[in-house]
Amino acid sequence: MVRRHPALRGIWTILVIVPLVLPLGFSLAAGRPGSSALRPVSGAAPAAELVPRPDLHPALVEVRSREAGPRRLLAVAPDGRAAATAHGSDPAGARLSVARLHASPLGPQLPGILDAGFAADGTWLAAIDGAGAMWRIPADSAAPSVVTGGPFVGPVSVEPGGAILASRVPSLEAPHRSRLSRIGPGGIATVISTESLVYGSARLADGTIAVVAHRPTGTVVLRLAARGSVLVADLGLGAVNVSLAADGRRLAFERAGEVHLLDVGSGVDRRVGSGTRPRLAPDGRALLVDRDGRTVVLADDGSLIADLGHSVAGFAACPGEGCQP
Amino acid sequence: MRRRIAVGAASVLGGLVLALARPAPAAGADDYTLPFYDPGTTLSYGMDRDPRDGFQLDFTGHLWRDDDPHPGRVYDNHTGQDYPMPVRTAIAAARDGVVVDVEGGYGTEAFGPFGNFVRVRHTDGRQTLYYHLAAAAEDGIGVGIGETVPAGEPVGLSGCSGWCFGPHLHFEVLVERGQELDPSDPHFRRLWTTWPARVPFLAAYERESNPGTVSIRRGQTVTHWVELRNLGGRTWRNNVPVGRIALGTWNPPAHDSPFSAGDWPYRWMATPLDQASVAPDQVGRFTFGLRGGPPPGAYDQPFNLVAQSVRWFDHARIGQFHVPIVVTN
Repeated sequence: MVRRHPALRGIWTILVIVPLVLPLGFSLAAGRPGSSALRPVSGAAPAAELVPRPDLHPALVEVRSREAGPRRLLAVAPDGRAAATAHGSDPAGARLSVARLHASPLGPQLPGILDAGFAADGTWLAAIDGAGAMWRIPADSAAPSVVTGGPFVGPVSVEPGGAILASRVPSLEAPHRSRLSRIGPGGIATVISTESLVYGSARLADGTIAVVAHRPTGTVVLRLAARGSVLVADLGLGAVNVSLAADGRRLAFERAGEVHLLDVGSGVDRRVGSGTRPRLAPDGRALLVDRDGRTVVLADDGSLIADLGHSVAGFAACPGEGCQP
Repeated sequence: MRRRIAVGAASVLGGLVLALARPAPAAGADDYTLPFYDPGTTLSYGMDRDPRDGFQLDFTGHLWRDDDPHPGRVYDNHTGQDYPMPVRTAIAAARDGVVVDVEGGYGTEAFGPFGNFVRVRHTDGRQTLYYHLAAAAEDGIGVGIGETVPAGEPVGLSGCSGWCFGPHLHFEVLVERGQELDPSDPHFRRLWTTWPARVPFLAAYERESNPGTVSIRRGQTVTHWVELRNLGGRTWRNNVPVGRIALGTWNPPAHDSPFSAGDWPYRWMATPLDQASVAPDQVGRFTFGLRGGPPPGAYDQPFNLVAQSVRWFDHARIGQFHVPIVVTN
């Protein structure tokens, strides 16, 4: 039972034909009455305040909001000066908000929001709307433009050259296949991993791409190489929601409601307590975990650093001035 | 009738309405069955048979457009069938097959891009996918990779993991095309117009050797039989290691009966199916002895059918078969 907003139906027709007939200043949405395909979602940006939390961890940022209702943090800009959040439980109807340090939040208007990722320089973000289409959103104007249809699922990351990494799926509802793809500026998507069910990817500090994939034997973590890939860790059955440190030497994952922290080099697998969706800090020394509906910050030994309650938070890749991710 | 397995037309229609709107399936008796056991389960969002964005062709043949609201019927590019059901409802293999992939690591109701599933490969070149299942840690995954699953055997429990806004089963039939799995095979589409039609296991009372009260002298045994019609989608068999159809005691299930006679395989099982096999729509007979074991008096012995090592039949839907017995001196 899924409610789905169409995003790219007929997009090629629109892109080819509409520019020929639209007067200047006319919106794409007006060119196709009755369709929500490219019509901005009404409503202002949800009020959201970006708060760095160096008292808890140098890379931690918190996004506070006075708006009621569920929120998800989608991405933090590498320098920690912006963060994208989704407001609403249903991605097809959720609203995207970009909280900025010392600036008012932006409300890019998309037909729902599924996931997002910032460019390395923080000047724009790639976002997947509620129907799985990929958009490009300048971080200063928040005026989105379609990159390509999909459907895609996150996580979304942007490479230094501007290509977007995300996974293409046969359907948003039941993705039994998920192909990691590189989407060029022209919207052409190229599959870059042979894994048939990719759960996520991350660009590591050394520039390589780590891939988290499901195999019938369980969940594996790989590094893409010039030819094929190199196995980093075999986490076995039931390991999900894998998060990697920037150097790829530590990773956190969830298994049966317990959060694990694995040191890849030594193979030491430490259980750090109950919770779901661990998000590992870039230095691997702290992690965010959802626990009983609250967000908690844990040290790598599992001790509690802070309970952020219903706030949402994330880690920046390299916070502060002069960030060169 | 005082004793019967009552098949209420309304309850059956709830599950069969899709099939009755079309001619009978051309598929064989041992072909696919519905991937659950409750015949009252109905389809909500069906597969979109129109490959175009913005257009949806539903199972009735109606073509919808996005600007024509039709919630609960079909949504754009939907690749499967959604069956709402409570969390932890048993899910059945739709056909004999081998489990080729499972995921059970996600929380039973954890929302996210990925959820728990079981995928089964069948001998006809198709695969079936059962998505949004409960967590393996909560017994949501009932099978392992490489395991052979007969049609109708449980593969897991329903949940709401992944892209899910209310507990349901997302069910797909996929066709292997090289490394890809395509849900839009034309034969599959034709199949879907007439199928799914039936849950695996369902029965209706037909008749029995003594439709009145069975009178037994204490210590003696009388032979009794009952005939039940196979209304499910699975052929009943009495010679298979898993899923053998038998008549067992009920309320509580599998209790030791004081009327068990020497021909009972177990004190809770009166008899397996008399015939080697009974195809859907055919009638099977169950012959067993009733021994006047307890002191003189009036008794009632309930029974239900069981697919051994799989599940009991849905007695809430089919009622229960019970034999009034009077033991005399």
